[in-house]
Amino acid sequence: MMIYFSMLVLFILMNVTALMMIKEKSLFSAVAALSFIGLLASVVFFLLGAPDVALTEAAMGSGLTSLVFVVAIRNTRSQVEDINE
Amino acid sequence: MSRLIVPVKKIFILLLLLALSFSALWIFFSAPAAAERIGDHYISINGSEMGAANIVTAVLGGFRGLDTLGEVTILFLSTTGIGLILSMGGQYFRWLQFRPHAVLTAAIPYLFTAIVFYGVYIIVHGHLSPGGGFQGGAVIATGFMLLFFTDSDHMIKKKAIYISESLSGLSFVILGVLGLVLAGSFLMNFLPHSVRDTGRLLSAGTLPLLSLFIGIKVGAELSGLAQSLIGRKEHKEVDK
Amino acid sequence: MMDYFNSEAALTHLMMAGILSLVVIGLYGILTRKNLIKIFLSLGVVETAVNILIVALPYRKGGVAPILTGQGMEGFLDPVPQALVLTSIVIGLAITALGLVMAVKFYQHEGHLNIRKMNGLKR
Repeated sequence: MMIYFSMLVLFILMNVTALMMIKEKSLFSAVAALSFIGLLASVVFFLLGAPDVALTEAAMGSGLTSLVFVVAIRNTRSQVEDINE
Repeated sequence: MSRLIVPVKKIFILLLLLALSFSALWIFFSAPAAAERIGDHYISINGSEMGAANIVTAVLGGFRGLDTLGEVTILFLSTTGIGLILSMGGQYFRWLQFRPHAVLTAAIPYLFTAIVFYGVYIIVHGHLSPGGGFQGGAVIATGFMLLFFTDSDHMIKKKAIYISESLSGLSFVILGVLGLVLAGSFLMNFLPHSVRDTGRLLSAGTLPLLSLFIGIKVGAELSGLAQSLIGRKEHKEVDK
Repeated sequence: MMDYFNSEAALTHLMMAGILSLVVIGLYGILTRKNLIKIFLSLGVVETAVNILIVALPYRKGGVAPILTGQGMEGFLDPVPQALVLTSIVIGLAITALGLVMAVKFYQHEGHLNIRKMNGLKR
């Protein structure tokens, strides 16, 4: 019961964030959304009985991935999606 | 013309995705449940062959150590590829034009020590509690990333990164070959690993050493990645 | 009604639906977005969803993490998919970084990241 509703909330949040990420014009906001999805996924991994994976996802998915994306966006002068179209 | 085509295309893509998801759902729910899992076998022989408390680390470093070796090789190849592409002629990367806030510059030197110690703790206790080489290496790399953010002149020597990652990879292979020679199969646990010691820091035979080497390797590779992406030294020429 | 929420089937259905919709959203982004960086971001969503799927498939209700705590080995979850996902996350980061660096190099040569205009091999 408890785990069902926590999973429900987590998955709804992840889906809404993913939709917002797809529709978002600003690339930095999209990177922040992806980091947020990674954090929620880390909680899901913990609830599924995989604390090792949760640790990795928390360190990778929200820390280093966003660094890589932010560096790439800074190097292409494309803070907004439309500029490159 | 193109205005007319684009919605048609999007509708087509949506229909395609819906068909894909329904077929995937059908496959998921019609698949029979596996009666016997390989994981159960690993759990049952963990006591006699590894003696580790955290069975995920035992699988990662021991039973499936060869896969981990291949994975670390992929990581090495992709970081080498990044270094190659970055050093290929043309323009250099612009470093992040990012003026660190006073709070960040004041806090990071202390936080850095704490983060690196936390990473080392995760690596060293990998066979006892959730953690291990990959997690600890990632945490250490995050610490170095924060350090590079505050002070982009503060660099590690490229050579130190190369040496630490090649030495740790070599030690991993040497431990595997020693297992082959002394115990009969690659990456076999040849140091004492009795079940009675399970839960102590010095237990599980070669497993702590293996996770230490994985940790050093992953930490060095990811720190090198962060350095080559936000490091300032190579990019001074473009900044003027 | 309460029985359904407590059952294991409910949890399985919920996770399958959530993971599938995440994959579909990510695939939609990959197929319709124009900016290459946005495509890599959508790829990240798909990757996260697939990782959750691999961990969720062997999950049983009441299962505990496969770590010995002195309580015996009752209800241990399968450790092999967890080890697989662990390596998959690390590889995913490295591959994403490689792709993004290639994208930046492309931008420095061509001056745009629009995937509809990337037809250099056709000409």
